[in-house]
Amino acid sequence: MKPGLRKLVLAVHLIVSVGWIGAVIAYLVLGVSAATSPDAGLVRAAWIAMELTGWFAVVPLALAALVTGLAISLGTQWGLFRHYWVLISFTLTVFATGVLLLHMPTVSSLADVARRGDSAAVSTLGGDLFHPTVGLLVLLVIAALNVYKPQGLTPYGWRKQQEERRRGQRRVEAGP
Amino acid sequence: MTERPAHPDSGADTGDGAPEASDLGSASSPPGTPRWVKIFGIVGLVLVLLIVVVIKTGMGGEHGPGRHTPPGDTSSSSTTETTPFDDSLAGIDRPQVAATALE
Repeated sequence: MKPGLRKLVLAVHLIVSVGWIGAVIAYLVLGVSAATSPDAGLVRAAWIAMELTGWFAVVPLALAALVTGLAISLGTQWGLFRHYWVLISFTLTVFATGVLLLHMPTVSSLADVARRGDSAAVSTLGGDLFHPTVGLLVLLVIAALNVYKPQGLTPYGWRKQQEERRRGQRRVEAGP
Repeated sequence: MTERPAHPDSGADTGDGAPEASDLGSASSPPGTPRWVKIFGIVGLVLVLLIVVVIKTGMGGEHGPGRHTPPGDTSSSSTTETTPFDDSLAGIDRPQVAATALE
Protein backbone atom coordinates (compact mmCIF):
# COMPACT_ATOMS: atom_id res chain seq x y z
CA MET A 1 0.00 0.00 0.00
CA LYS A 2 1.41 3.41 -0.94
CA PRO A 3 2.19 5.77 1.95
CA GLY A 4 -0.49 8.30 1.03
CA LEU A 5 -3.19 5.66 0.73
CA ARG A 6 -1.99 3.98 3.92
CA LYS A 7 -2.31 7.26 5.82
CA LEU A 8 -5.81 7.81 4.44
CA VAL A 9 -7.01 4.31 5.36
CA LEU A 10 -5.38 4.64 8.78
CA ALA A 11 -7.12 7.96 9.37
CA VAL A 12 -10.50 6.47 8.39
CA HIS A 13 -9.80 3.43 10.57
CA LEU A 14 -8.99 5.62 13.58
CA ILE A 15 -12.07 7.79 13.07
CA VAL A 16 -14.54 4.91 12.68
CA SER A 17 -12.96 2.89 15.51
CA VAL A 18 -13.17 5.75 17.99
CA GLY A 19 -16.63 6.54 16.61
CA TRP A 20 -17.67 2.93 17.27
CA ILE A 21 -16.65 3.28 20.92
CA GLY A 22 -18.52 6.60 21.17
CA ALA A 23 -21.65 5.14 19.58
CA VAL A 24 -21.60 2.20 22.01
CA ILE A 25 -21.27 4.62 24.94
CA ALA A 26 -24.28 6.58 23.62
CA TYR A 27 -26.21 3.31 23.28
CA LEU A 28 -25.21 2.31 26.81
CA VAL A 29 -26.45 5.65 28.19
CA LEU A 30 -29.82 4.99 26.55
CA GLY A 31 -29.80 1.42 27.88
CA VAL A 32 -29.12 2.61 31.43
CA SER A 33 -31.86 5.25 31.11
CA ALA A 34 -34.35 2.60 29.97
CA ALA A 35 -33.32 0.30 32.82
CA THR A 36 -33.52 2.86 35.59
CA SER A 37 -36.32 5.23 34.63
CA PRO A 38 -39.84 4.68 35.99
CA ASP A 39 -41.17 6.93 33.22
CA ALA A 40 -42.74 4.78 30.47
CA GLY A 41 -42.41 7.64 28.00
CA LEU A 42 -38.67 7.83 28.56
CA VAL A 43 -38.31 4.05 28.29
CA ARG A 44 -40.25 4.10 25.02
CA ALA A 45 -38.09 6.92 23.62
CA ALA A 46 -34.89 5.22 24.79
CA TRP A 47 -35.67 1.92 23.04
CA ILE A 48 -36.59 3.65 19.79
CA ALA A 49 -33.37 5.69 19.99
CA MET A 50 -31.38 2.54 20.81
CA GLU A 51 -32.67 0.86 17.67
CA LEU A 52 -31.78 3.87 15.53
CA THR A 53 -28.38 4.31 17.17
CA GLY A 54 -27.67 0.62 16.77
CA TRP A 55 -28.58 0.25 13.11
CA PHE A 56 -27.42 3.64 11.85
CA ALA A 57 -24.35 4.34 14.00
CA VAL A 58 -23.00 1.26 15.79
CA VAL A 59 -23.41 -1.29 12.97
CA PRO A 60 -21.99 0.88 10.12
CA LEU A 61 -19.07 2.00 12.29
CA ALA A 62 -18.33 -1.60 13.33
CA LEU A 63 -18.34 -2.82 9.73
CA ALA A 64 -16.20 0.14 8.63
CA ALA A 65 -13.68 -0.51 11.43
CA LEU A 66 -13.52 -4.18 10.46
CA VAL A 67 -12.97 -3.46 6.75
CA THR A 68 -10.41 -0.66 7.25
CA GLY A 69 -8.58 -2.74 9.86
CA LEU A 70 -8.35 -5.61 7.40
CA ALA A 71 -7.11 -3.27 4.67
CA ILE A 72 -4.38 -1.82 6.90
CA SER A 73 -3.17 -5.17 8.18
CA LEU A 74 -3.10 -6.82 4.76
CA GLY A 75 -1.67 -3.74 3.05
CA THR A 76 1.31 -3.26 5.39
CA GLN A 77 4.16 -5.33 6.83
CA TRP A 78 2.14 -6.00 9.95
CA GLY A 79 0.02 -8.59 8.14
CA LEU A 80 -3.09 -10.22 9.55
CA PHE A 81 -1.61 -13.43 10.97
CA ARG A 82 2.00 -12.40 11.66
CA HIS A 83 1.67 -10.72 15.05
CA TYR A 84 -0.38 -11.94 17.97
CA TRP A 85 -1.73 -8.48 18.78
CA VAL A 86 -3.06 -8.02 15.24
CA LEU A 87 -4.59 -11.50 15.19
CA ILE A 88 -6.25 -11.05 18.59
CA SER A 89 -7.51 -7.58 17.65
CA PHE A 90 -9.01 -8.97 14.46
CA THR A 91 -10.60 -11.94 16.26
CA LEU A 92 -12.15 -9.69 18.90
CA THR A 93 -13.42 -7.28 16.25
CA VAL A 94 -15.07 -10.12 14.30
CA PHE A 95 -16.55 -11.47 17.55
CA ALA A 96 -17.91 -8.05 18.59
CA THR A 97 -19.35 -7.38 15.12
CA GLY A 98 -20.94 -10.84 14.96
CA VAL A 99 -22.60 -10.52 18.37
CA LEU A 100 -23.76 -7.03 17.41
CA LEU A 101 -25.39 -8.24 14.18
CA LEU A 102 -27.06 -11.11 16.05
CA HIS A 103 -28.27 -8.82 18.84
CA MET A 104 -29.72 -5.99 16.75
CA PRO A 105 -32.84 -7.90 15.56
CA THR A 106 -33.67 -8.41 19.26
CA VAL A 107 -33.30 -4.68 19.83
CA SER A 108 -35.63 -4.07 16.87
CA SER A 109 -38.21 -6.45 18.37
CA LEU A 110 -38.12 -4.61 21.67
CA ALA A 111 -38.25 -1.22 19.95
CA ASP A 112 -41.41 -2.48 18.20
CA VAL A 113 -42.90 -3.26 21.60
CA ALA A 114 -41.88 0.21 22.79
CA ARG A 115 -43.59 1.81 19.80
CA ARG A 116 -46.81 -0.23 19.81
CA GLY A 117 -47.24 -1.41 23.39
CA ASP A 118 -49.19 0.39 26.09
CA SER A 119 -47.47 1.99 29.07
CA ALA A 120 -47.70 -1.21 31.11
CA ALA A 121 -45.96 -3.25 28.42
CA VAL A 122 -43.31 -0.59 27.89
CA SER A 123 -42.53 -0.29 31.59
CA THR A 124 -41.63 -4.01 31.67
CA LEU A 125 -39.01 -3.69 28.92
CA GLY A 126 -36.20 -2.65 31.19
CA GLY A 127 -32.89 -1.71 29.60
CA ASP A 128 -30.05 -3.23 27.63
CA LEU A 129 -26.90 -3.29 29.74
CA PHE A 130 -25.10 -6.60 29.29
CA HIS A 131 -24.36 -6.52 25.56
CA PRO A 132 -23.20 -2.89 25.32
CA THR A 133 -21.14 -3.18 28.52
CA VAL A 134 -19.31 -6.31 27.36
CA GLY A 135 -19.01 -4.82 23.88
CA LEU A 136 -17.47 -1.64 25.26
CA LEU A 137 -14.95 -3.63 27.31
CA VAL A 138 -13.97 -5.64 24.23
CA LEU A 139 -13.51 -2.44 22.21
CA LEU A 140 -11.34 -0.92 24.94
CA VAL A 141 -9.16 -4.06 24.96
CA ILE A 142 -8.82 -3.81 21.17
CA ALA A 143 -7.89 -0.13 21.46
CA ALA A 144 -5.25 -0.92 24.09
CA LEU A 145 -3.75 -3.67 21.90
CA ASN A 146 -3.62 -1.24 18.95
CA VAL A 147 -1.86 1.44 20.98
CA TYR A 148 0.65 -0.74 22.87
CA LYS A 149 1.25 -3.31 20.11
CA PRO A 150 2.69 -5.95 22.48
CA GLN A 151 5.52 -7.94 20.93
CA GLY A 152 5.14 -11.50 19.71
CA LEU A 153 5.40 -13.19 16.34
CA THR A 154 3.15 -16.08 15.41
CA PRO A 155 4.87 -19.17 13.91
CA TYR A 156 3.46 -18.11 10.53
CA GLY A 157 4.86 -14.60 11.00
CA TRP A 158 8.26 -16.03 11.92
CA ARG A 159 8.34 -18.23 8.78
CA LYS A 160 7.41 -15.28 6.55
CA GLN A 161 10.08 -13.18 8.26
CA GLN A 162 12.72 -15.85 7.64
CA GLU A 163 11.71 -16.07 3.97
CA GLU A 164 12.07 -12.31 3.61
CA ARG A 165 15.45 -12.35 5.33
CA ARG A 166 16.71 -15.10 3.03
CA ARG A 167 15.49 -13.19 -0.02
CA GLY A 168 17.25 -10.06 1.25
CA GLN A 169 20.50 -11.95 1.80
CA ARG A 170 20.38 -13.47 -1.68
CA ARG A 171 19.88 -10.00 -3.14
CA VAL A 172 22.91 -8.67 -1.23
CA GLU A 173 25.06 -11.63 -2.28
CA ALA A 174 24.04 -11.23 -5.92
CA GLY A 175 25.25 -7.63 -5.79
CA PRO A 176 24.40 -4.74 -8.09
CA MET B 1 4.16 -1.21 33.48
CA THR B 2 7.07 -2.93 31.77
CA GLU B 3 9.39 -0.74 29.76
CA ARG B 4 10.03 -2.10 26.31
CA PRO B 5 11.67 -0.75 23.17
CA ALA B 6 9.33 1.60 21.40
CA HIS B 7 7.89 0.60 18.07
CA PRO B 8 8.63 2.87 15.14
CA ASP B 9 5.11 4.18 15.39
CA SER B 10 4.54 3.88 19.10
CA GLY B 11 2.99 7.32 19.16
CA ALA B 12 0.57 6.54 16.35
CA ASP B 13 -1.89 3.79 15.71
CA THR B 14 -1.84 0.46 13.94
CA GLY B 15 -0.49 -0.09 10.49
CA ASP B 16 1.69 2.95 10.14
CA GLY B 17 5.35 2.01 10.08
CA ALA B 18 6.89 -1.43 10.40
CA PRO B 19 7.47 -4.00 13.12
CA GLU B 20 10.74 -3.57 15.01
CA ALA B 21 13.68 -5.93 14.53
CA SER B 22 13.55 -7.31 18.08
CA ASP B 23 10.05 -8.56 17.35
CA LEU B 24 11.20 -10.83 14.57
CA GLY B 25 12.41 -13.87 16.50
CA SER B 26 15.75 -15.65 16.18
CA ALA B 27 17.07 -17.12 12.95
CA SER B 28 17.25 -20.72 14.18
CA SER B 29 13.93 -21.42 15.85
CA PRO B 30 10.46 -19.90 15.89
CA PRO B 31 9.71 -17.76 18.95
CA GLY B 32 7.54 -19.29 21.66
CA THR B 33 4.12 -17.96 22.52
CA PRO B 34 4.55 -14.77 24.58
CA ARG B 35 3.39 -14.85 28.18
CA TRP B 36 0.87 -12.05 27.61
CA VAL B 37 -0.82 -14.11 24.87
CA LYS B 38 -1.11 -17.12 27.21
CA ILE B 39 -2.60 -14.98 29.99
CA PHE B 40 -4.89 -13.29 27.48
CA GLY B 41 -6.06 -16.67 26.18
CA ILE B 42 -6.69 -18.12 29.63
CA VAL B 43 -8.65 -15.06 30.80
CA GLY B 44 -10.63 -14.99 27.56
CA LEU B 45 -11.43 -18.70 27.74
CA VAL B 46 -12.59 -18.39 31.36
CA LEU B 47 -14.83 -15.42 30.49
CA VAL B 48 -16.34 -17.19 27.48
CA LEU B 49 -16.99 -20.36 29.53
CA LEU B 50 -18.54 -18.24 32.28
CA ILE B 51 -20.90 -16.56 29.83
CA VAL B 52 -21.81 -19.90 28.21
CA VAL B 53 -22.54 -21.44 31.63
CA VAL B 54 -24.66 -18.44 32.71
CA ILE B 55 -26.67 -18.60 29.47
CA LYS B 56 -27.08 -22.39 29.43
CA THR B 57 -28.05 -22.70 33.09
CA GLY B 58 -30.42 -19.75 32.90
CA MET B 59 -28.73 -18.07 35.87
CA GLY B 60 -28.71 -14.77 34.01
CA GLY B 61 -32.34 -15.06 33.00
CA GLU B 62 -33.75 -15.78 29.59
CA HIS B 63 -31.55 -14.75 26.66
CA GLY B 64 -33.35 -12.74 23.99
CA PRO B 65 -36.34 -10.40 23.90
CA GLY B 66 -38.31 -12.55 26.34
CA ARG B 67 -36.07 -11.51 29.23
CA HIS B 68 -37.44 -7.98 28.96
CA THR B 69 -41.08 -8.97 29.38
CA PRO B 70 -42.93 -10.77 32.15
CA PRO B 71 -44.06 -14.40 31.62
CA GLY B 72 -47.35 -14.66 29.77
CA ASP B 73 -47.00 -11.27 28.14
CA THR B 74 -47.93 -11.84 24.51
CA SER B 75 -47.24 -8.35 23.31
CA SER B 76 -43.53 -9.05 22.79
CA SER B 77 -43.64 -12.78 22.13
CA SER B 78 -45.75 -12.27 19.05
CA THR B 79 -43.22 -9.71 17.85
CA THR B 80 -40.38 -12.08 18.59
CA GLU B 81 -41.93 -14.83 16.54
CA THR B 82 -42.20 -12.59 13.52
CA THR B 83 -38.57 -11.55 13.77
CA PRO B 84 -36.14 -14.12 12.37
CA PHE B 85 -33.17 -13.93 14.72
CA ASP B 86 -30.65 -15.03 12.15
CA ASP B 87 -32.01 -12.94 9.31
CA SER B 88 -29.93 -9.80 9.33
CA LEU B 89 -32.03 -8.26 6.57
CA ALA B 90 -35.15 -8.45 8.70
CA GLY B 91 -33.83 -5.86 11.11
CA ILE B 92 -32.50 -3.49 8.48
CA ASP B 93 -35.97 -2.47 7.38
CA ARG B 94 -37.16 -1.84 10.88
CA PRO B 95 -35.29 1.39 11.60
CA GLN B 96 -36.83 2.83 8.44
CA VAL B 97 -40.23 2.03 9.87
CA ALA B 98 -39.15 3.60 13.14
CA ALA B 99 -37.86 6.67 11.37
CA THR B 100 -41.12 7.02 9.51
CA ALA B 101 -43.08 6.64 12.71
CA LEU B 102 -41.02 9.36 14.37
CA GLU B 103 -41.57 11.86 11.58
